[in-house]
Amino acid sequence: MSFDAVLSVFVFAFIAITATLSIRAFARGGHDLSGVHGSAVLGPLLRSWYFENLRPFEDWCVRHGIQPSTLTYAQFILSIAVGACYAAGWFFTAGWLLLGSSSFDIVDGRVARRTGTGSRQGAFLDSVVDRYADSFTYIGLSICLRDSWVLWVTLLCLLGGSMVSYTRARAEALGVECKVGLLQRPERTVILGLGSMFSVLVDRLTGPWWGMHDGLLVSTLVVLAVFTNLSALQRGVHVQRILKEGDHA
Amino acid sequence: MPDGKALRVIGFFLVLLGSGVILDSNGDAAGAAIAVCGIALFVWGIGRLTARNRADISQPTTEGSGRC
Repeated sequence: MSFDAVLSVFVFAFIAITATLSIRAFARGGHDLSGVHGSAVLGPLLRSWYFENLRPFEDWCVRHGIQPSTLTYAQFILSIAVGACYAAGWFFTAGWLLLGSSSFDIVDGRVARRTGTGSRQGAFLDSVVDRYADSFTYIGLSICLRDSWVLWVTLLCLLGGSMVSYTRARAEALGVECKVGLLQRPERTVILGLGSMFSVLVDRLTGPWWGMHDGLLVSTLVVLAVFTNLSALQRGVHVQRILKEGDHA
Repeated sequence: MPDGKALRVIGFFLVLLGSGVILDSNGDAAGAAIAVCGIALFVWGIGRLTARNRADISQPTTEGSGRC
C-alpha cells in the first residue's frame, strides 16, 4: 500500500470520526432547532451543528469589531484561491477551501445580525460576491478540465447556478418570494466541496474509475449539473404559476 | 489564549491543509509538518475541553443542598 493510500485512509477516518462524534455530541446537547431553516439535503441539525462550530470565530469577529463587509471581501479573496486550486488540479485543497470560504458567507451575516450592522448595501455586496465566488470555482474547474468532456458538465453547473440565483432575483424584483429549489447555494457548495475532497482520497485508494481519474468529482459534477438546472426550472415554474394566478386575479 | 473549541477547529483545518499539500502537490515534508502541528493543536483543544468539562462537573452547586 502506497504512502498516499495510507494517508487517504487516515484523513478519511479522521474526518469521518471527528464529524460523527461532534454531530452526536451536538445532538445529545438538546439544542433548540425550531428557528433553523433546513432543506432535504442539509437539515436543521447539520446546519445548527455547523453554526455551532463557527461560533468561536464569530465571537472573535464580534469581539475585535470585524466588519461584516470585511468578511465578505475575505470570502471574495478566498474564492479566487479556490478557483486557482481547481485550475491547478489541487482538488482536495480546493474542496476544503471552498467549504471554508462559504463559512465566511455564513459568518458575515451572523456578525451583521449580532452587531446590528446589517444593511441593504451589505446584502447586495454579499449576493454579488456569491456570484463571483461561484464563477471563480467553475472557471477554475473548466480550466483544469478543458481537454475533457467534463468541461461541458462544468459549464452546465455554472449555467444552472447562475439561473437558480437569477430566477430568485427576478422573482423578488416582481414581488414574488422564491425560495423553492432542491439545490440552493449552500447545498451546491457542500456537495462540490465534499465531492472534491473525497474524490482525491478515493482516487488514491481505488485508482481510476473506468480509466478516468477523479471519478467521484466527475460524478458529483454530473449530479450538480442535472439537479442545479432542475432547481432553476423548478423555480421558474413556481414563479410562472404565482405570476399567472396574480395576473388572472 | 484560544479556547478548546477554537484550537480543535484550527487543528482540524491544519490537518486538512497538510494533507492537501501532500496529496495535491506531493510536498511530503512540508505537508507532514503542517499536519503534525494540526494534530497537536487538535489534541490540545480536546484536552482543554475535557479539562473544562471535568471542572464544570466537579463544581459544587447550592441547588438541592437543603440550605434556604
